[in-house]
Amino acid sequence: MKKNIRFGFISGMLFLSLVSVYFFREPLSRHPLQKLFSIPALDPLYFLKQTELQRQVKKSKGEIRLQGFTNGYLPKRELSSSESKQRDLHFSEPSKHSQDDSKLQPVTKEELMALKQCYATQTCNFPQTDPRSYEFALGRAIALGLKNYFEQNKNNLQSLEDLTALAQDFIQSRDGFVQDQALDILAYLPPSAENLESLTQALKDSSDGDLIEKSLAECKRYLNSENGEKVDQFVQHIVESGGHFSSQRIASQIIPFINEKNFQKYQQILARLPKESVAARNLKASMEEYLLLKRGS
Amino acid sequence: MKKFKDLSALDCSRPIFIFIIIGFFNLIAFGGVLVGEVAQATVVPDFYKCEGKVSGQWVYGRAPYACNADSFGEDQTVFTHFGKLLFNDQKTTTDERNRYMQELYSVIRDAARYYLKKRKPQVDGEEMKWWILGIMATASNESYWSHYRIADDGRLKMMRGDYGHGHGLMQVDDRAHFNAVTTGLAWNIIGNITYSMDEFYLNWEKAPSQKCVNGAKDYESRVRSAWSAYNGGPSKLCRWTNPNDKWARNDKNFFNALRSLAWENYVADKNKVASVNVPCLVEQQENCPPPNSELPGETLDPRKLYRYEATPGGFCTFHLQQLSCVENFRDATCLLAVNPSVLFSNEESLEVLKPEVIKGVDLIGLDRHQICVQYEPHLFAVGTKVLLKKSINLRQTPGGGVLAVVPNQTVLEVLDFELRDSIKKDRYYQVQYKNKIGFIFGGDREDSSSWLERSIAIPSEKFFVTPALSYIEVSNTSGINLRKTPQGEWLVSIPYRTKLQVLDSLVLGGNNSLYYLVRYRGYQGYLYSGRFLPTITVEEWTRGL
Repeated sequence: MKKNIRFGFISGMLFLSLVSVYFFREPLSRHPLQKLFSIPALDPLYFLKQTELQRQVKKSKGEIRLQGFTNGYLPKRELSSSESKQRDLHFSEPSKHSQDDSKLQPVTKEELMALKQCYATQTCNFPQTDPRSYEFALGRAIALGLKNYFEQNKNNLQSLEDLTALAQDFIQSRDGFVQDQALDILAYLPPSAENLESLTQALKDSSDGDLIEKSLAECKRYLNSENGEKVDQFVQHIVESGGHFSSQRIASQIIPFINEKNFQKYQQILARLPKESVAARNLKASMEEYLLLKRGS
Repeated sequence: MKKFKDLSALDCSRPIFIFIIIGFFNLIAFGGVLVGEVAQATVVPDFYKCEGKVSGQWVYGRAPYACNADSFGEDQTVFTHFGKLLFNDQKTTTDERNRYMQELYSVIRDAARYYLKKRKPQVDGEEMKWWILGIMATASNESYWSHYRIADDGRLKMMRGDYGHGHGLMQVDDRAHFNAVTTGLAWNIIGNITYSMDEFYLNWEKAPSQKCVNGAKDYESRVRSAWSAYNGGPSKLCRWTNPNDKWARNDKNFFNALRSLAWENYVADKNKVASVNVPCLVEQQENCPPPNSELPGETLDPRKLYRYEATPGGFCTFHLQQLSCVENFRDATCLLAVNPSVLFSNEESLEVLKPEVIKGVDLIGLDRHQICVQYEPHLFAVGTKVLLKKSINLRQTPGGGVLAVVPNQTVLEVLDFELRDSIKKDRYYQVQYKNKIGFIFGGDREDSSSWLERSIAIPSEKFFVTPALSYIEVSNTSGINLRKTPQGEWLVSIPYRTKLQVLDSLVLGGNNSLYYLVRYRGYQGYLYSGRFLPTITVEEWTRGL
C-alpha cells in the first residue's frame, strides 16, 4: 500500500514536471542554463517539429541557436491591462519591441542566410496561425539574428566585409524590422557608394515613415561628397513620389538637404504636388526656412 | 512486514533521489520562467489593449470582433468627425447597413482615387477603376467594411480581427505596424485606409513584374496579386495561383468578392458625394472642414463660414462689412471673437467665395495667436510654461493614440494649441515630453484651471523659448537680421555667436514663428528665431544660455 502511494507520488511529480516544462517551454528556451546543457529548446515537442532545413544546417557549422527567436508569440493568456477613465487615462507605456542584448546568442553568417531561405521554402519552424504569422516571426528572427551577428563582429576588422555584404543584402528585405537592423549596420560602417546605393534602392518606395526618417540621418553622412547627387535623387523621389506618410515627414525635415544647386528642383516638385497636401505645405515651409537661414531672416 | 527503518536503506533512497531530481528540475523550470520573462522579446499579444470585447456577425458593418475604440483614440473625435461612418447596432439592421454602406462607399472611393492620383498624377481611367475596386474588395475581404460600431452596450467599438492583431477596416496588423496602431493612425478610419493603401500600392507596383501577372494592363491579376501579398506578406504576390497553398481559400474568397461586388447591393447611389472632406482627411486625418459645396457662394451671410482661396484668405466670416479670415480651419472657431453669430456645422458643406463676390469688402487676415486669445482669454500662448494639475495622456494628435502619460506636477512648454468645439471650447496643447511631441488636453471653458496652470518654474523637459531677461546666443552661421517690427524694416545684422539678452518674445503666424525683442548696438528690435511647425527649427537660429 505504502509502495503504491510512493509510486503514485513519484509518478505525479514526474507528470507535473513534464507539464510545467511544456507550458513554460517558451521562457525556458531562453534560459541561461540552456547554453550549459546545449539543449536547443527545452521543448518536448521540439524534435517532432524539426524541419529538414534545420537538420541540414546542424550538419554544417554548429546548431541553429535561434530557437529562442522562433517562437515570437506570448501565450494568449497575456493581455495588457489599462485603466479606462475617460480623458484621464493611465495606460502603461506601449510595449517596446526590444530584445535584451545580453541574452543574444552567437549567430553565424550561414545561419542568417539559411533563415533567409525560409521565405522561399515556407517550411521553417515558425507559426502559421494566420496568413502573416510565419513571415512576421521569420522577419523578427532574422532581425534579431542580424543584430546578434553585428554585436559579435562589429569590432572584428576581418568581419567588416561580411557585415557589409549582410547589410547590403538584408536592407533589400521587405520586412521593416530587418531593414531597420540592416540600416543600423550601414550607419556603423564607413560611408561608401555601394552602401548608399543599396540603401536608396531598398528604401526609395518604402511606406515606413520611421525607417525613412532614420535613413535621412544616414544620408546626411553623404552630403557634400561625390554621392551628394544620389542623396538628392533619393530625397526628392520620396518627397514627390514616396509613400504618403513618408513624403509628409521627409518634406518637413529636408532643410539640410536643400542647397543652391537643387533649390530649383524642389520648386518644380512643389509645383507638381497637390497644393493642399501636407507634403506640399511642409516642403514649402522647409524651402522658406532654408532661404531665411541663408539670409539671416 | 517491513518497517520504516528498513526502507531507509535501498528502497527509500531511490524514491527520495528521484524526488530530489524532479524537485531540482522543477526549480529550474520555475526559475527559468522568471529569467525567461525578462529575457524574451516583447511582442504584441493577441487582442492587445482590447477592452469591452464584443462579437458580431460576418456581415457588412459588424464583423467580429470589436473592442472599445478609446484604447487608441478619443471617442469624441470619432463622434465629431466621423459620426456618419459609425455602424449603430442599436438601430434596425437593414436600414442601418444600407445607410452605413452608402456613406462608406463614397469615402473609400474618394480616398482611393485621391491616393492614386497623388502617387501617379498621369494615371489612366482603367487603372484608376481597378485600383478603387481593389481597395474596396480588400476592405470587403479583410473586415466586411467594418470599422467603428456602437455596440449593444452603448460603447463605441473598433473592429479587431486575426486574434485581435488586425485593426479596423483594412486590418492593419499590430505585429508589423505597432507604431501606426499605438499612435492612432489605424484607429482613425481614414488613416487606416490611407496607411494600408501605402502597403497595397507597393504590391500593386511590384505585381506586373511577377510571372503570374501578364504585364501592367492585366489589372485583374494585378489586383489579385496585390491582395495576396497584402494578406500573406510581400513574398506572396502569386499565392493566388496556388490552389494548394494553406491560405488558398482566402484568395478564392477575395476573387469571389472581386467578381460579385457584393457591397454594391447596399449602395443606392455610387456617385453620392462623401459627407466628409476625404482629401483633407487623407492628408491630416482629423479636424477638417466640411467638403466644399458644389455651388459657389454668391452672397455674404454673417451666419456662414466661407472658404476663400487667396492670400490673405482661408476660412472666413463676414461681419460689419468686413471679411475676416484665419489661415487654417483648425482656428476657425476663433472667428467667434469677431463674429459671434457665425455657425459651425459638419452637416453643411462649405461655400467657396469667388473674388467678384467680395469686391468692395475689406479683407482682413487674422493672426491665430491674437484672435484665439481674444476668443478664449484663458488660452495659454505658445512658449508658456504650464504645470499639470493631474496626469494627462500625451496623444499623437488631439484625438489620437496615446504616446505616454504625463504625470501630475510636470512642467512643460506649450509648442502649439488647438481650440475645438465652439460651445465647450475644448483646448489642446502640443508639448514635448521625454522626446515625444504630442497633444495634451487642457480642459474646456468650465474646467481648464483644473487641468493646467501657468508656471514660472523651469520645465524639467527640454524647452525652446528663452524667458525674458535670460540670454540667448545666435546659432545661425549667417547671423540674424534685427528688424524694427517682426517682419518689418531692417535695422542691423547680428553676427553668429553674439550673446543677447531677451527683453520679450512673440509668436506669430500659422507656423508659430518665434521672435525675440532684443537690444544690439543701440538698436532695439525683433529677431526671428525659427518656428515650431511643421517641425521645430528654433535651435537653428538661437540657443538659450
